[in-house]
Amino acid sequence: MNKKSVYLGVTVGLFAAGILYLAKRTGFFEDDRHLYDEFESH
Amino acid sequence: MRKNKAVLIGAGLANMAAAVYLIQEGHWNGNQITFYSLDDHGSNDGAQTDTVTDEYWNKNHPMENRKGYVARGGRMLNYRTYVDLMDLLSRIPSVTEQNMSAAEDTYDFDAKHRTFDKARLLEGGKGIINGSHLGLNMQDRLPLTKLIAMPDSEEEKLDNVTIAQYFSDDPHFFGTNFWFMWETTFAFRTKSSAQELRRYMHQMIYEFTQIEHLVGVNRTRYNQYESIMLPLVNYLKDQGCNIVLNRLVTDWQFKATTMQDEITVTGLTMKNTLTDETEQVAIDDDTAVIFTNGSITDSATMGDFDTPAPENMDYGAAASLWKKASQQFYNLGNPDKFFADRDASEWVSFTLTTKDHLLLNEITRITTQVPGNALNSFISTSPITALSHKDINMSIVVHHQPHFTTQKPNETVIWGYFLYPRRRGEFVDKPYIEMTGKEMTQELIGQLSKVDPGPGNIRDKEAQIMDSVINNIPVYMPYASALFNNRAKTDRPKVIPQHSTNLAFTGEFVEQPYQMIFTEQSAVRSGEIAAYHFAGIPMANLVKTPRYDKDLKTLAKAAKKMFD
Ligand SMILES: Cc1cc2nc3c(=O)[nH]c(=O)nc-3n(C[C@H](O)[C@H](O)[C@H](O)COP(=O)(O)OP(=O)(O)OC[C@H]3O[C@@H](n4cnc5c(N)ncnc54)[C@H](O)[C@@H]3O)c2cc1C
Repeated sequence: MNKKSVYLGVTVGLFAAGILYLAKRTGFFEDDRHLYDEFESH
Repeated sequence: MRKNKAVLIGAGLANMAAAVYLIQEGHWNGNQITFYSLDDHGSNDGAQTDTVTDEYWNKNHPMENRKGYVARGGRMLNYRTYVDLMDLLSRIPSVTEQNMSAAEDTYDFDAKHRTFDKARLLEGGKGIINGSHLGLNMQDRLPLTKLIAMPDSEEEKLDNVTIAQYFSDDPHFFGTNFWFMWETTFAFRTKSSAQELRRYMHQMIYEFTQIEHLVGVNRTRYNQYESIMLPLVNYLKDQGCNIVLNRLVTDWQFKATTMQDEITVTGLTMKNTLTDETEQVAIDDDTAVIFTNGSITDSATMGDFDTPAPENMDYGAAASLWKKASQQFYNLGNPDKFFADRDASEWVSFTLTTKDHLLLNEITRITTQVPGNALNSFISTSPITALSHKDINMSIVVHHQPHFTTQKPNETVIWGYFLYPRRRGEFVDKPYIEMTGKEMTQELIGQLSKVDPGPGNIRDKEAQIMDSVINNIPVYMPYASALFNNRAKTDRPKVIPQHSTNLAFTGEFVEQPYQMIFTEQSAVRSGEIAAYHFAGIPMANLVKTPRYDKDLKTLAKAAKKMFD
């Protein structure tokens, strides 16, 4: 592997990690279905 | 907890929705359901004035002139986000269109009368403003983006933060076209809750991109009473529900328990508002109590063409009852947050009825759009806010005509409102709240004259227009924006509070996931949740909520729009 593709791999990896971090911070993957659990009839 | 009977306090949209879901999804019979309520419309009203003057809030304020129509609010719906409301309306027949459900009725009307607002903002000397230019700078975009990016789970960070406080480092925000349109489309005030603004930025993110034309706004064929409430009332009566009106529920009896936190209603005290007699209703173990714990039209009063709407200082009727429950249990919220700060919540609206179409045609000429399409807001020409900004003086909604089934072909009905009723008029030198219907009409003509592109000016026809007025009903609503008042998450009870065995809360003053309030949507969903709980239906069966705030395309569009 040459240097260029290592750099590219690291950049893409960092970018993906950044997106994932942002998505997590902003609740993008938050699933709100459990929020209704407390209203269930028991 | 599953129950087999229900007593509903309040017969507004939220509780009627609960009843429909109990019947259709819970397979209850109508006769298992009893409503006790002051009236059968709540905030969703619309009627000939003389038919409502004897109602609870009006009867102590006799009116000289009872002609014309009154609807305390104008309505904008939004199919994309109002999924529970549309589901509800698809379950009941329309009362005006044969062989159509109430939802089909609305879809049909709306498809033929699409909203495309061409004059959302108007300013004296400039005429129609290009609202697509939001006017945001980098300092405005950052806090707005933070609101959009803040996940549901971090909402508490905005506990007790007003919009003014949230943007305190950025006064410029309150002078932008974005704010002018946002505050008047949704009725936010600077003292309103930033937490609620965050919810709007999430649920209404779709509208962000098209707010200047309101293209996402959908409307019913007629006023809210005839297009939404009456179909519900008729359906529920047909099903055998007992709807007992003219009842003011004033107190509770709760089961006494050692730990004092189990919430079990055992009885209700109420007043028959026609006879003033006190009545007692026992609540047995098998009965659910579903209570709409706040109404934004409580304590609203009406004036007429020559009389301003009097100021009624009553605490809201629903909120008074809520207060009694919250004084007994620690987890039922704080009604004072919403009902003890009128300065944050009050507004004045008016319903203007004319005997011809002269005013209507003049508005059409000035705004360049046909009736039924718009919400027109008039920006002041000089600074009027504490931050020395210009702001909206007044807004009008010119309905598609007719707006009432009994309206004559020659008649016109127009609705308008002042978000800050203590501000002074520009053409009638007194606070809006002190204006008669006549003076509000003069103020409206004045505002229109400032943006009239000519030739000629609407003022030239003022005498003729004033002569055409059948009535103009000013309505003072001390709690119209109360639901937006600054709050913490714990200030509203959950739809099903912890430790409750038979009491549920519905409407606009309850805590439920994600939903923004001041919408028919959230009112319906709260009723649906209560019904599912007491009928033992899994919450997974609730109508699915679309999450545009998690849709990349919508987010990208919104981001782009912020730079317009
Ligand atoms: C001016 C205005 C404009 C609006 N614009 C829009 C809009 O554009 N789009 C939108 O989606 N929504 C709009 N809304 C909001 C919409 O009307 C409400 O969301 C909806 O009506 C709330 O329904 P509800 O059942 O929670 O309460 P309500 O409709 O207020 O019903 C409460 C009921 O309880 C009764 N009641 C109160 N206290 C007692 C008591 N102690 N005993 C017995 N009965 C009692 C009342 O008489 C009433 O019947 C607007 C409302 C107003 C006022």
